[in-house]
Amino acid sequence: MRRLFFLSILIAISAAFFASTNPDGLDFISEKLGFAAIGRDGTAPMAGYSIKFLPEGGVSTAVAGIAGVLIVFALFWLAAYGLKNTGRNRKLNDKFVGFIIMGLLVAAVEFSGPPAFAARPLFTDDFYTVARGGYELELGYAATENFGSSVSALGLSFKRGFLPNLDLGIEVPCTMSGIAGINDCYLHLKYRFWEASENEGLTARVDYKFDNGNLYEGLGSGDNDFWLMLIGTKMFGQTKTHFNVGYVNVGFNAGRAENDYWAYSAAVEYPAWGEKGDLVAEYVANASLSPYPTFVLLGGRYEIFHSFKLDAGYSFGSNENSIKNALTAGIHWEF
Amino acid sequence: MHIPDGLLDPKISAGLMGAAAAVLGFCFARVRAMVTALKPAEALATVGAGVGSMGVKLKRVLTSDGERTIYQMGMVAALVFAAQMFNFPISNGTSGHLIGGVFAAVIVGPFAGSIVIAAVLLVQMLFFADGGLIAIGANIINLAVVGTLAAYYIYYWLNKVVPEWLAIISAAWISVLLAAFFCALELGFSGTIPFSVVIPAMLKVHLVIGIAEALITLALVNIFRGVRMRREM
Repeated sequence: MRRLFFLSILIAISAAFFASTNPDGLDFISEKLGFAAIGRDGTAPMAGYSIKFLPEGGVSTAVAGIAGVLIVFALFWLAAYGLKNTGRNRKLNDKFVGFIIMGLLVAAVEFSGPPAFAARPLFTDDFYTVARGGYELELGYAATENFGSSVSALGLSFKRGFLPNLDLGIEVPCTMSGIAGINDCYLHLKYRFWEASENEGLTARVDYKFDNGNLYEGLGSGDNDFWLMLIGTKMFGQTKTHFNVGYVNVGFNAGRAENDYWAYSAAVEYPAWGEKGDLVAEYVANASLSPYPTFVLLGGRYEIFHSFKLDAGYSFGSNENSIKNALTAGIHWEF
Repeated sequence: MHIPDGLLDPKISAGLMGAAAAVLGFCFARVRAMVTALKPAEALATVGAGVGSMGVKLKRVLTSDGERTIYQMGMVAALVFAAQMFNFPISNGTSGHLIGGVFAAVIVGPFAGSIVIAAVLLVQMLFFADGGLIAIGANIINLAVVGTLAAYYIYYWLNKVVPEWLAIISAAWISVLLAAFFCALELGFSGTIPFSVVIPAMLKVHLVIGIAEALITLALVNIFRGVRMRREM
């Protein structure tokens, strides 16, 4: 099935570049017989198979085509999802999936450019929130060697700034290897409550993990988790430092024996390429197991054009409960 | 062959919208029966719901085969959408593109196929301004009902007397001509253009477009079946 999906996208892309631009049968006849003029062009987000904010041409059509293929498939996926989930989480999950689709559609339609702050490839969060009315989209890929097995995963994070100091986002992680599919998704709410200067301050963040992953197929944990995090950012000379302290409640609201732990991390960002790019490093640990799972990440990010950044990182763990090796790469886009 | 707004008489547009809704409603009912199964409600009742839930109520639930069918419909729809973007040149300044009705109907069945093509038309109209809002009923009737549901039965009957590949290409070719004929009829009845002018003109162009439709349909059916078979092995 996945092969056919790629075939559809391939056809859409090649159509954008190689398809004939002549009018089709009906359009040709309506022009030849002179009744084309009474037809009215409709309005739509991607009218004429092009994206408004991209220069006219093949690329714009290709992006519109890919969006179309995804929208068409999403319709049927949603139908199956709606028919399948008639259990206790139905209302929540329906709203949540609707939110994802709406978010992606809004992202496809709107375009503007407030300043950019980045979090990837770091796990440690910074105190910034997405500018009011702005959007942030992050896509990351990670290959991890873990407890003798290796896993590759793709994660999509989408955030919108609702107030000058508050943003709301969702994160959709997908496992790519072994049992492929969508894992449990997260909802983030971030509130910047104290600001010492433009680059220093404190933020509180609340995360909620859904149990939408199919536990029986090995995706997701089947629990609703709850996170509360305090995030601080401080400058030392040119170097930015971020500190995270978090409380995690596993199985929150799931009606089973509760389990909780603390998590903490620290990160530094050094502007090695000035405004354009940073070198980053971080230390992440949590108290869920003994010895504590910890890892160190080294990486960097670079802005290739306005508000669009590429990043990469390598991380390694320190003991048998940690990940062994992981490579990650991703993109970050604010608009 | 997506009719834009303005070419059809509003009364005809409204009538066709009603007809399209009726046919799609029937298709939805058939597909729903296909992808779900009746299960006793008590098997689904949660613990502690009480004896009241132990009656002989039945409930429709999605079967795993049904879920696969819906994903397959989505896959076919995505493929048809992409293929419809690919306009191929025909002759002096004309191009054509796939309808995909016969392809969808052969793969997922006539009723599901109609829904697939209707969904593609809906997305094209809502997101890409391809085909008019008021003309959506006419477009669904031409492409999703005549070009898919009716064309499927041409394939179905031909398949009994000739080899399948011949049935597929004949049905695909006829589906384009039928859809073009219906489109021409709607334009004629709307008073946009006389029947005697529009019917021959539409049929002439679509005779050629139909040949491409037939070949692409045969290729897509083979690709789709090949991929599915490899997955099952």
